[in-house]
Amino acid sequence: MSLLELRHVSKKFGSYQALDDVSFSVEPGRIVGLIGPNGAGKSTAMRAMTGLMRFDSGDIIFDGQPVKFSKTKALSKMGNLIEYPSIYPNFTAEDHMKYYAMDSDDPENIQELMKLTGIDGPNFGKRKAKHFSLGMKQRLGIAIALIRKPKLVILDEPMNGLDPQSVREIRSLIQELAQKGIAFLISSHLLDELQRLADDVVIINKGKIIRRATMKDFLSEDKAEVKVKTSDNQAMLKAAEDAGWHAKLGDNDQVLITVEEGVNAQAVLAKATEAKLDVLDIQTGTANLEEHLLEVLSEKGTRA
Amino acid sequence: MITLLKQEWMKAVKQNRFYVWAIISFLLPVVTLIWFIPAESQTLGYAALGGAGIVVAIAASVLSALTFTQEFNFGTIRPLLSRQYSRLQIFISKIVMIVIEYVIVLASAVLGTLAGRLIFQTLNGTTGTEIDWQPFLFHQVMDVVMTLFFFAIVILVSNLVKSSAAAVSLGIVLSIATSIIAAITTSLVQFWEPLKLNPLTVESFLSQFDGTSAVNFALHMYFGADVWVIWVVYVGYLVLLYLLTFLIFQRRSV
Ligand SMILES: Nc1ncnc2c1ncn2[C@@H]1O[C@H](COP(=O)(O)OP(=O)(O)OP(=O)(O)O)[C@@H](O)[C@H]1O
Ligand SMILES: [Mg+2]
Repeated sequence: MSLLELRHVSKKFGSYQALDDVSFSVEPGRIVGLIGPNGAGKSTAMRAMTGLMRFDSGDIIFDGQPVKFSKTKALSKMGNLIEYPSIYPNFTAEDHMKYYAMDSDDPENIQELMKLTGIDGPNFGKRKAKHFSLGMKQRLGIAIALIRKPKLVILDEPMNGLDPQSVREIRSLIQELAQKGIAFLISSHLLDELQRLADDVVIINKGKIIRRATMKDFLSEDKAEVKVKTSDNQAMLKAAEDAGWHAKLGDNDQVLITVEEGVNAQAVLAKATEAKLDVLDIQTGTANLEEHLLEVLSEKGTRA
Repeated sequence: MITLLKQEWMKAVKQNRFYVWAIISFLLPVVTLIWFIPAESQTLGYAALGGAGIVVAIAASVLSALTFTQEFNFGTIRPLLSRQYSRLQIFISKIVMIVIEYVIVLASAVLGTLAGRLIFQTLNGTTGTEIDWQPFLFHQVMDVVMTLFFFAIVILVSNLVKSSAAAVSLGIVLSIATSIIAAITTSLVQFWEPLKLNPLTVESFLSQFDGTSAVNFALHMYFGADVWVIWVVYVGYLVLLYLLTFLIFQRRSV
């Protein structure tokens, strides 16, 4: 059984359809990336899942119980950080942890969790949260989302404002917790980060789910390309096309050739030599979430 | 529920430092009763809690307004509501904590008054320092009961406007101007009799209640009904106001 399941969830703000028949699920221990452009409905969907917002129709089931606006027992096993970290300005980081730990009979060890999320240093200590930087608040928000030993953690833009070091720390923390069976639903515009982190992707655009797939399957649709730079790119392009390859001129003074059966960097190199062209640079691009996402979104965009 | 109350208490202490109001309410009457109020006015001074009455009233506006509005202002309304509790439980825990904070601040003012009186007595002797204990204490209890009405209005507005500044100012205006507003509404009664059962008039007349037959008689004369009926009307207004406020709180998407 899925840990979290959305079935045909719809929500209108006035006449604006913010969620349109949204269905997807999150399995235990999986890290799911919820991705889509600004205003796609990611935060709106997350607010519905956490009982913060009424939705017009559909069902949300978490841990076997329906999530209802205003009361759901099961929410004790869900942690969340939606849109922005919210703090009590006069509380210290530890005050926040103590405050939210009260919600659970069996909370995480506060000191340990503070250490794991990096909010235990001298920078935090006895300082009030109103003096925290955005990244510090963000890490505190993540710690709060984890304090109740949740089965599912919903994180909206968790890497927002984090420095590269912190991003890496939070990433390995999330991976470690997922190993232990905790599921994550994460929205982020940092697609390189999500590509490394997420097991599954759910793509939402204009309130509609347009794709659900494992990250692996989704990326495998992305056609890898050989990017080659030669002494005469026009001649290279012609040689490739004559060979029946899918080729085009790229932006950076390169020829882009789609990798297919029998078409790879080695074949391209051989073809260039045959055409008596000097190869100045050659690379094989790997599958890329960002590029493939943009591709998928533009396809759907033209169809809509 | 206990958890929610503990959490509200933690916010009352660490975030809102309500004890500062309690300390001021304690110290002010000590100071005024010892140095500024002569023997012949001491009894009056006790009734006014040595000037702390105003502080207590302002504390009541600030604390009751902040309890709800700050959650919206800090954005903590989301973590507050995305938990296993029902909104009714959260609502009740907040109301209960407002009353607890108020009782503590008021009690500090009373204790400050008694401390000031005691010191005054040791310095100047006991002439002019009599307290009629029963009415004095009864008055404090009545104060809490009548302030429930005031809280209801401030909390209703807090939930409508979600702005601390607006709710606090309204509270302060109300606490100072209630008698003026009540006087205005009361004067309107001459145009239409049933108007005298409006909540402000009921509240302001009933706040005179002290259990004596003289006041009971006056209330009866004015409203043309027994005192218990007026109490029922007052409680009815309270229930209505809190219910309305709760419905607004419960239905809000955040
Ligand atoms: N309370 C509201 N009232 C009216 N419209 C709203 C409300 N909340 C969200 N919307 C609209 O719903 C749509 C989806 O918003 P949402 O915040 O879910 O987007 P998002 O996917 O989280 O975008 P972003 O990447 O910018 O965070 C937007 O068009 C937004 O304007
Ligand atoms: Mg968003």
